[in-house]
Amino acid sequence: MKAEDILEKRKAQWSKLEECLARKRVGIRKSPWTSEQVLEFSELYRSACTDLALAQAYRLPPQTVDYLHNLVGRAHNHLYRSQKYDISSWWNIMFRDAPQQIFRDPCVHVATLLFFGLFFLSALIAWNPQMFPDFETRVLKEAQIQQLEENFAEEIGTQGNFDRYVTMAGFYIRHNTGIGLQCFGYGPLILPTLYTLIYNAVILGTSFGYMARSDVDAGKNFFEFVTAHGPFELSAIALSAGAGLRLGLGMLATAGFTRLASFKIQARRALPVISASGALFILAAFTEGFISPSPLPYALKAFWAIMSSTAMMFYFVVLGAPRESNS
Amino acid sequence: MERVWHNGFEEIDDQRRGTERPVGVQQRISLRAMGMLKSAKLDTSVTIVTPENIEFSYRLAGPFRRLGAFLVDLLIKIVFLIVLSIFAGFAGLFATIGAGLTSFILLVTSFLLDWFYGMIWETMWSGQTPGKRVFSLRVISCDGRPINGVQAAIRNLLRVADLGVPASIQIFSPEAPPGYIFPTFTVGLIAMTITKRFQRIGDLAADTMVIVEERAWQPVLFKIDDARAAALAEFIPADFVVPLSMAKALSLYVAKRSKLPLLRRQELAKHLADPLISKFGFMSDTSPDLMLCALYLHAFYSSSQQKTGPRHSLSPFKKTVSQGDSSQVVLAAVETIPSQSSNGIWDVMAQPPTSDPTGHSQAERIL
Repeated sequence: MKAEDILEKRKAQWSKLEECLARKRVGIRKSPWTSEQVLEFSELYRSACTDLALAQAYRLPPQTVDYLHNLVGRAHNHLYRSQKYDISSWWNIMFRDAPQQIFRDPCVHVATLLFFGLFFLSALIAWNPQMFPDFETRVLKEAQIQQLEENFAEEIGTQGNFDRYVTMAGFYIRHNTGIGLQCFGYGPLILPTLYTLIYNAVILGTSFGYMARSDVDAGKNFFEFVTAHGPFELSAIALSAGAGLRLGLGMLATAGFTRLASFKIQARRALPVISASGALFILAAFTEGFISPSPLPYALKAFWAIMSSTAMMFYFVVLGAPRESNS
Repeated sequence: MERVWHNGFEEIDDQRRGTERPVGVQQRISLRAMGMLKSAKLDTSVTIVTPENIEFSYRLAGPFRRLGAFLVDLLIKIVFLIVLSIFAGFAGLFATIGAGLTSFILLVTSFLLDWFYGMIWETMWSGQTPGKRVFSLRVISCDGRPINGVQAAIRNLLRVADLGVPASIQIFSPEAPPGYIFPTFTVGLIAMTITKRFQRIGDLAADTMVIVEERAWQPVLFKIDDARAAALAEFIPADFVVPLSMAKALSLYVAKRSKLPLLRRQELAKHLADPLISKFGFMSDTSPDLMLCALYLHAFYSSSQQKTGPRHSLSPFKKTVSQGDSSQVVLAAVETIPSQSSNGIWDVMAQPPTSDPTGHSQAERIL
């Protein structure tokens, strides 16, 4: 048997397999494939596999072998797929693994302390102009402070200002969630994560502290705007920075693994934390989109903030407390 | 059928790596790392072992091909945003929605595109974004399976690290307004050069790699128009089996020869053809190029020899090896046994080819 005969014999089946590949992928639900087609496809795939395995025995030319590698590879990708999102495993990740991991992960502790510590510290300093004059102008530029005051100069909820506050909600969703995701994404490099975290903690803290001064008129509107979504958003930033630090730590502290293996392991460990952080970001975004710029009374927004803080407290502490079974 | 198939594989595998059966690519890699496997080709390809116990290889995608895909995706994102803002502008013009709401939608969309574009496409198209599809790239797990949503999420969220270190335009001209920050790809490039599979940091964390998944081409046998080659091929002794490496060299040569000038062809072909010409006892002024074409025909095409029976009278080997009729029988046996057995394996394993409506034209293409 020479290559010519084999090609002649097999070509028809290979081109049939090509036709199958041109169709949509095999699906589990709502599959566009009939059962006969699936059977035919798997049969064709297996025989192409056999051809590839025996290519050496058949003495096929290298171009044909390349073609077979390609064909089998594409058919393999067409046929096999891993589960995309399994609901039950996600429930476990979100409500069992994530809080436990967050509760005992030192990286999360460090990131949270760093973020909220600097946030409150700079807020306190900026709030007290008698003891620390000019602090806010050193951190923020004069123009930025003016911009901030201007943004919140008008009352939330009156008809004319609705547009302005909705735009701002969009801007802050983009900006703050971006900061959080950057903290995670820069994680493997560690330093950019720390820089982003510290920088934004100081900036945000200073803005909050400045706005809390009694002589700043825009302060009332500012706090009315940020109260509802603040708890979700700030916690989410701290959490994602914690997950990012965990990634970076995997590169440094390898605990006996190779550097690469340790990195992969820590990435798996960071996954529940970043998922929880993602969920918080989504909650924050919805709050920011629908509640913060709305003309609802301030009491309701404050109530929402208290409820969300309580829910997070429950999530982190009660669900996160170490369990007998886990240890 | 099933049994023969499996046994065949066990034999092939056992020859290569002792008695160990392959469990998966993970094991192979660790074996390779320990130096137990013979050194892998220094090549940009990666081998996968499927559940069917088949090994096949993928070509890995290098940084520049991936840069192309990245730029196409970037372009798509920008165009989408522009189109959306035009629509939003019209909607604002006819006052169906307020200006605040349009800018809210634009801001949120640009944020979503920034962070979730790759993640969503790669989950939906199992490892491809439109840009990757244009450059026929695909992200797969290092064990060869398609990626899942979690892997897509990790590798896309970590992209910022790979795009780093960000540089600002202010570095070059201090008067430039702030905010023009562009990626330098430094971290990703460094990671790609020091890892085995061109993995960037996101790939390392998610345990994925990017492969080239080219569209199909024809499993060609090259046609040789020169009738003299076919005639010469008839004179190559039928018992001459072209070794595997020579077959490879022959088909690479034939694939390239049409692009080479005649003198260059002769120069290249000489090294392989001349010893064979003297071995077969052909005329010494036989063109080396023609000789290799004839060998190619001999190696891959079933010649008239096989159809009409072996023509041993033409074999120069016969004179040196044999003196009488008895050895002629031996030679005939040697030649026919392998072809018979391969016929046998073939018939056991493969299904008979089904009737093909375009069979005729395909046969022509093969030839």
